[in-house]
Amino acid sequence: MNETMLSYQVKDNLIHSLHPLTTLSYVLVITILSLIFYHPIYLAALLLAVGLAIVSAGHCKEWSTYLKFTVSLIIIIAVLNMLFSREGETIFFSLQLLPGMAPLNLSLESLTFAAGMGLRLLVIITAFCLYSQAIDPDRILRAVAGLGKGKTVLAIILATRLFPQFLRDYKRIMEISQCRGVDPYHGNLWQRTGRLKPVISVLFSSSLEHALELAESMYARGYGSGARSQRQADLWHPRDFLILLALIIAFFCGILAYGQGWTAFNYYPRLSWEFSGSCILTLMTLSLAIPSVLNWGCKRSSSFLSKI
Amino acid sequence: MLSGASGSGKTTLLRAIAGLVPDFHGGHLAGAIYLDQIPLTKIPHRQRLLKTGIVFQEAERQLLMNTVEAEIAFALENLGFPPILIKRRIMEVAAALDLTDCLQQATATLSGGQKQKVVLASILAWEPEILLLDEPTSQLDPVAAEQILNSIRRLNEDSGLTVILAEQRLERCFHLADRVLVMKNGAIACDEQSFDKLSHWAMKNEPSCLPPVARLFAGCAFSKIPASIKEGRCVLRSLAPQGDFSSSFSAASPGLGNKLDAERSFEQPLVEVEKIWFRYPEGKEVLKEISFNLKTGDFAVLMGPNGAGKSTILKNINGLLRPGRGKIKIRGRDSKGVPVAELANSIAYLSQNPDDYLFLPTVREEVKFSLQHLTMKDDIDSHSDQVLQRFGLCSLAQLNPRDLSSGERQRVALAAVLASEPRVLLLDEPTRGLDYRHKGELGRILLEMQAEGTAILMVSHDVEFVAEYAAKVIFIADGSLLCSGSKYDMLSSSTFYSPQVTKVFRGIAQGIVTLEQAQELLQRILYHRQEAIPRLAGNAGTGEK
Repeated sequence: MNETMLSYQVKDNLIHSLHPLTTLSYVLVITILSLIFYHPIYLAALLLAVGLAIVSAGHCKEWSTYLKFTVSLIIIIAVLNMLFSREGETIFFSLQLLPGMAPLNLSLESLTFAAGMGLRLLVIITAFCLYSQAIDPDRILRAVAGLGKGKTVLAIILATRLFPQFLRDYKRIMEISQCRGVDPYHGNLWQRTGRLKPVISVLFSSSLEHALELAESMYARGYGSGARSQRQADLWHPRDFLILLALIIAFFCGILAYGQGWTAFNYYPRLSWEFSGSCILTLMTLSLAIPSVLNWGCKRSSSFLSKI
Repeated sequence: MLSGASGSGKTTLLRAIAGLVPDFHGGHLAGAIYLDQIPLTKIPHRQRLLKTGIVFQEAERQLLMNTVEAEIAFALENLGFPPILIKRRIMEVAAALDLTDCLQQATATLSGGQKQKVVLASILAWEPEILLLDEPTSQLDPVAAEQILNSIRRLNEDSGLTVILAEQRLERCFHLADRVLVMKNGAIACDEQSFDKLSHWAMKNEPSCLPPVARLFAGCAFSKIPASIKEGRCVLRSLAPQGDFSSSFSAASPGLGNKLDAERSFEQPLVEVEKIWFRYPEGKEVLKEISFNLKTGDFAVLMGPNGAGKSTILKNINGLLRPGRGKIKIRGRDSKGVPVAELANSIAYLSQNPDDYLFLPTVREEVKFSLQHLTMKDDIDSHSDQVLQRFGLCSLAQLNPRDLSSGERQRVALAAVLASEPRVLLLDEPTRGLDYRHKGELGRILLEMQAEGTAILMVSHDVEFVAEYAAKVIFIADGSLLCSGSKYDMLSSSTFYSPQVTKVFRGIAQGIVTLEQAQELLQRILYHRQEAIPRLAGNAGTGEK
């Protein structure tokens, strides 16, 4: 992990120029649909759409870091699912570890289920990547504060805002740990985990202190002292309405497909699935690809952005 | 100005005036604080904020927004200012603090001085009547600190802004104050508007609350104590009107230093930095062809502006970073490929934040942890006792290090890294946040270590500390080594990086760097003057005859 992976970066393109609530809506639609879809093809369609948005926004490098991180998580999910799931019937490998103990079965179903859930995780983490890279935290804080809504949203925004700081602290404390003769990268997993104890201890203490200092600074600068004003409300452009319309279409397509049972995929006890609703899937994917298409148009014609 | 030792209650007093104590931090407040004759507790939060603004010590930890403009606007929006007024105030305060060009810049990319200016701007934007400042220059180099203090002074003089400033580096701001309050153990020990009375009180009770220039004159029993360098120079000029006293001064020791250097020229260096270059990933060159050596018993200091690459040099030496080009040799061996944990046996490193070192429940365990991981000593218990004794930590051995004062935490961290008796000690801004007494203790420990043969390399903006304790100074700017030499040569020839006594004696005597030297010379001047007066009087009498 690195700091740029979790921090907003200024870029001159259509996706970065959207109203923060438009981009936030896009991320939310992708996340909600990924949570109700089980069918890998539908999940792959979501991944394709949000991946295109990230690439067109110019965050390939950061996304690749997220992907590496996610793949390691998917491998862990696959291994755990293989160890603990006993529902699959198509067993292609069985291992009796201890006499009297249930055998360890590796089934096609458990492997496919892990792959499906991994795909879902990939979509959610990619959506988060878009959130952290393409939404200016200042603008989203202002937009949310303007709505007069809440402490939970503020907490989420601050948490995402503070991730880079958390990573910086982690890196610094790991360095100091090495300077005190502790090599956190040496030894087996158990030894390395044990050596992380002081790092985690300091990290939590300094994070709490930092959070308190930041809260004090906000309080001393009047946050929560009464009604807020806005120096300049973010402007809504035609492109925002266009994308919001596309999002509504995509969301209803997704809900329709879910209601019709087209997004279902039975992993257990035997794989059973069918693919239907291709027109709806295509419409949903195309709707979700609208930001990327518009951004591509802006790159082709410099006057296009001013028109929309 | 609020002066006083660490833990004397300066920050708590500022927080109480700002209403943060007890409103934000809790606790019980007895007595009352009045703003415009109204008790603070009866003023609503927002109204109170419109009257007082507070700037804390670490700018980095107060920044919330992504860009400078959003950061300045944040408080104005919170306080419900109309949009037109917000824009105007941003424009005005940015111009006043020279931030106009970086309004759209990300706050994370700013230098330390700029960050402190942004925090200051975000408070000044709503034009509070009272500005409370808690060590606003503690992390800044002398030039950036001067800029910040000049801005504050201008606001005080031009706009009638009341400023209450708590500061440890008195030499930077003592002369700006109209009134000084000295705090001791949570109470106000002295409250003076007359600088002379304050100086005489301080010399009897708390000399550390005076800057070096005032201590110099107060130590020589002057009745009128100069507060600023300019005043001090005027006094000296009146005592020694015709100039250079350098030749009559015996205590300056550059000659001695040169002689020692010549004798040690064949000695094998402990650290050899040979033409190193370094670049962070996706960044520009931070270090460019840096070369220098550290020998047994050296005490060198890296000085230069924020962002010059000083801390990066330390991290290259202890292996946390590896140079792109060039070599670093530790005791003659190339450190390339040697793990940091292995290098830690011979190189101790104390970073800017001593809290990062403290994670165990007691001070004793912190020291033992280092011994267990860094040395092969059999008798760890008795050795840890020796270390605790040496650093004066025996009475604190069973306490949680995080419950100690900043100076004590600094000492625990130092004891922890030095427990293994390293040959080289690297320190990054060790005097940050320390008062004069704690600085004195740190200086004493470092001199002891130097005498035992430890090579010390320190990064510091604290010119007064460097002048008193270090031996060599290396100036770094924009990743390059500008010049290096004995502190007498380096500090006496610099405009900003020179201690107060050097500035006071500029044009009168060269090579005066330490307070002891300055006092000796001042006494010599006074002695010459006393001898000259009867002679002059005698000559005058002969003439009349």
